Amino acid sequence: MIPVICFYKDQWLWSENYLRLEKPSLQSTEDFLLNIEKNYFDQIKILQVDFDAFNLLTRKHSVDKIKYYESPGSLVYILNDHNLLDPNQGLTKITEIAADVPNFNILTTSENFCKKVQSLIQEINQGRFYQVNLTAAFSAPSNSKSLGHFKNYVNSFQPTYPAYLPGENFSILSLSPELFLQKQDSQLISRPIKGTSAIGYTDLINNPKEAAELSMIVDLLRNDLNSVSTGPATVNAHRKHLQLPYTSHTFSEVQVATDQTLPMILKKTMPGGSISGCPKVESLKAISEYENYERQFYTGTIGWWQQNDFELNIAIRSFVATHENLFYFAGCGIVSESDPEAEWNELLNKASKLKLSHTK
Amino acid sequence: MKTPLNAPKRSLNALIIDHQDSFTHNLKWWLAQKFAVYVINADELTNLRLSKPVDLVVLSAGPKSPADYSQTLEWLKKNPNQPTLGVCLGMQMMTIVEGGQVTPYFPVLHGKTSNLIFTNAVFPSFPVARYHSLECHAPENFLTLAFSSGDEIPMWIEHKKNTWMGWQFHPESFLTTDQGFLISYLVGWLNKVSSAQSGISK
Repeated sequence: MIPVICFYKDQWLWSENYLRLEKPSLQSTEDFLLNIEKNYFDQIKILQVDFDAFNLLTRKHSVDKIKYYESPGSLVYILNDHNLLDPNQGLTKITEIAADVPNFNILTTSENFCKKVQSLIQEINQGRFYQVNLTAAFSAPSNSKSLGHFKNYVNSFQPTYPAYLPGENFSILSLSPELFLQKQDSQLISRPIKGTSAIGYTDLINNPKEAAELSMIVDLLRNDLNSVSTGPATVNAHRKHLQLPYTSHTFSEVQVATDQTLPMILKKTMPGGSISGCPKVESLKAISEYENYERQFYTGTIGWWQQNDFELNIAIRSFVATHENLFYFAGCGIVSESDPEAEWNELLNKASKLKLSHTK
Repeated sequence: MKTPLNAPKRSLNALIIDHQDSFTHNLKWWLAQKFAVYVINADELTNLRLSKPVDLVVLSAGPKSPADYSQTLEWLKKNPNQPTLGVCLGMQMMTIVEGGQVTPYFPVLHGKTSNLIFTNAVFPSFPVARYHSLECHAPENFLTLAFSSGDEIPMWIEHKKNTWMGWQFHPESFLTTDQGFLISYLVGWLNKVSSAQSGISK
């Protein structure tokens, strides 16, 4: 079997003996996850849930939207056996070599993207919301096996929360730097990332716009975790530095105690605050109005789950491979002080480890 | 109506009227320090029948502007003597109902802090979180207790007759440092206005 790979604490889970289950189209995500929880409680599982898996608002608009592949909404790999590897061991174990370097096109124009940013800024100034995450897709023709690409991109992105989810019709390659949720015993933690600078940390930490962007999302994550908690959320860290090979970010850490399990926690907290916006319901409406494609797995979540513990990323800096193409996605948080051209450059910065054919 | 928080038994209760804000659960836990807290959505307001009196109603913040929440505006008109705290949008709705003006404010303040400057200088200044793109121009029947440092926008108003208090800032935000002072003040204010009311009824 083609291996399924997922971060596990500081290591990699690697399995070539698993059962891959797709959510049936008529079943709700909640019921699907409740069944998995009941039937495979003790087994270690790798889980993928789409951005809009619990959100009926965006589904309403889905008819006229582009879909880059057919997503079941949620996927689970039940691992019959697995190895735990250090990331370097894992990389060595991938012997597949990518046959090509995919050559990406961004599937929008700077003019079109900047126009949307401008319009969102207007709506923010009118009080509709405080922040919205606006994203765009990239595509490259590629019919080679995607595991080789995963290896190359792990080397260039240096992800904290990588995953490789193979499938017959599509495979997902996640190079995420962001923790959505981690649960151990009763403690639930989130580490939202907001604030980006291609220049560096000093530029980032001194910028009041970047500070506000993260602060709103911290309040939003406090709220979402407070919706499943047995006591008030605490902010353990605020505006900490995350250095990646292609950019600098800031992140914070929010924690609560909870007595809920994964299906209810995801139902109450998805999609993640950092990739939707604030206030969340209104932001999700705006995303469905402004974006011309369905995000599907992108900005959803991927990670491992066993009994009542789990660790899930935000599926950003991520690719989906179909038989003919490789798709990548990137986005940025739009706030009232956003400069459209700077947001466009931030989008390109988040795709700077890709070979891009042209950007205008 | 949703069940109250699994908190220690509180003698006071509070009802949050939620305007699809993303901070309502934070507000709930902030209030839970002193209150048993219930939450309803603003669109359930017309059918609201309380089985027992509520000590405090809290109008949550929310997106858009007061005119988008006609049910809450109607409720306020009918309930001048219900002790009510309006947070952000809530304060803006109190202003509108009493004939004041709410106008666009630029640059908008989202996820920013300012210090509270009290008009009577009784309390020390401390930073509070701001999430607003509108500014309140409260009419004469409100007292302004505090302004923001720097841009000097009304941050804290109290109605001279109705038992209403409005906060333009967000008491529940992690950016608001002295949340303990605010909850104590709120309880003190509640005791003051309810004893004044029972005085009238005698």
